[in-house]
Amino acid sequence: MTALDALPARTTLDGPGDPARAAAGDRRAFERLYRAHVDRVFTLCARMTADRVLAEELTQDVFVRAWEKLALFRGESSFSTWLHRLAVNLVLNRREADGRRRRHLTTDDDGDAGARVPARPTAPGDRMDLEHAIAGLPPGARRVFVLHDVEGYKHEEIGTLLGITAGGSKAQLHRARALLREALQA
Amino acid sequence: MTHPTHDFDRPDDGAPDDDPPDDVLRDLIARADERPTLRPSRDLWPAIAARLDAAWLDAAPPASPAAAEARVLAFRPPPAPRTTRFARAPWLAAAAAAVAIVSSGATYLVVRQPAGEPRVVAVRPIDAHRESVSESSPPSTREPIGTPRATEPTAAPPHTHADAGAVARSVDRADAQWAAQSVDRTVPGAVDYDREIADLRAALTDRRGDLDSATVDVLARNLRIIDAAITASRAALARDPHSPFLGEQLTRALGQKVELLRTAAFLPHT
Repeated sequence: MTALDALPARTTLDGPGDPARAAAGDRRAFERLYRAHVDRVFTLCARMTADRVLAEELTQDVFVRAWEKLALFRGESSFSTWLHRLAVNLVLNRREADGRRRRHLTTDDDGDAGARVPARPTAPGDRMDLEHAIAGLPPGARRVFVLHDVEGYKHEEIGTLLGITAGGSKAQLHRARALLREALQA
Repeated sequence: MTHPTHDFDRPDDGAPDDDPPDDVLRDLIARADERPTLRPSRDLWPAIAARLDAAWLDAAPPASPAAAEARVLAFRPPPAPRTTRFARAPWLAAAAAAVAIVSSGATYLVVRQPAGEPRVVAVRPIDAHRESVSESSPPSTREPIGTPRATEPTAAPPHTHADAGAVARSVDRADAQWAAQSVDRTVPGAVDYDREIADLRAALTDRRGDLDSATVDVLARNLRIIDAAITASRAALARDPHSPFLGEQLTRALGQKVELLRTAAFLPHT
């Protein structure tokens, strides 16, 4: 059991039997699952990538992949947890693929160039300000922050997912928090 | 203000995890963990549904009756095209005709083949489903029944293995046809579809050779999928003949086949 499994179930609009029905091929049940979870999946993708257009692409990919893999969903965790894991894996796989393409041009965390969270563009407390702050984090720190502080993953799991050590994950989280504090105090 | 650490891959230094978020950050994290605040700019479902349909049509034939059944349960016809030029393209319609011709014409040609010409019609199916789904499986998946084996007697039997195989296959086909007819009689409208399919196949057989091979390949795949769906539906209905859902699935699949064949039958020559 992981930290994510321990997260409280969120209110969803899908019925309790919809995952099973969708796994049996019921497209309407799957659409209900989509309606219930799309915002959370999109939010996760957007926070991980800081790119809304890419996040929409990835959200589509997540649900297509979910449809293909639903037969493997055994109900041992909640559907939401299962879907989130799928989304995280897809986002990270996409990052790896993109990274391979542009590795000769730049690095994922190119120094401190991207390590400054932009100052608040709107009034304090504005919810979009939070998203703006998260999006302004450097990619590595942003992913660790979202996975650890928002999605509830443990450092060991994040290390495995991102191919870094648990200590590296902790350091990235520390960095992300510091940058967010800096942005919020600006 | 805390200065960030940049030694990212340093082994566990104990600092970050022992440094819980302060009140401001805790509030930030709590807000981030609430219901999603971001939404896609548009409804993504139509694009997702289209991809699911495309994936279904591109899928390989099912590997087993169970897989075929699962697939037919999953099958929903794609939404009616609104502006897709692809669907209106003459070549697509031509492909429909070609597919139907290839599928129905193959049977026709086998039946009409001269008696004196040597041909192997007796095969030992590796499994029943493979036999029922594909008439064009590669040779490696089938084994001529007439091939002697070490444990088989070498003396010529009164009837050859090939003869026995052909008879058995013929009986199996008759049984399958009878079973299909029996199943279809329990589903309203299915018999009418069967009749129409037979008529369209006959009409298309006369038109074989009118279409190019590329378009034939495209729609041959679709016809195989529909046939697999029909087979799976009938198998499921044989086990649960009173299921309205399965009946609807069979009717839907038969309707799709009629549509495909009808489109092909009324196409201009290519």
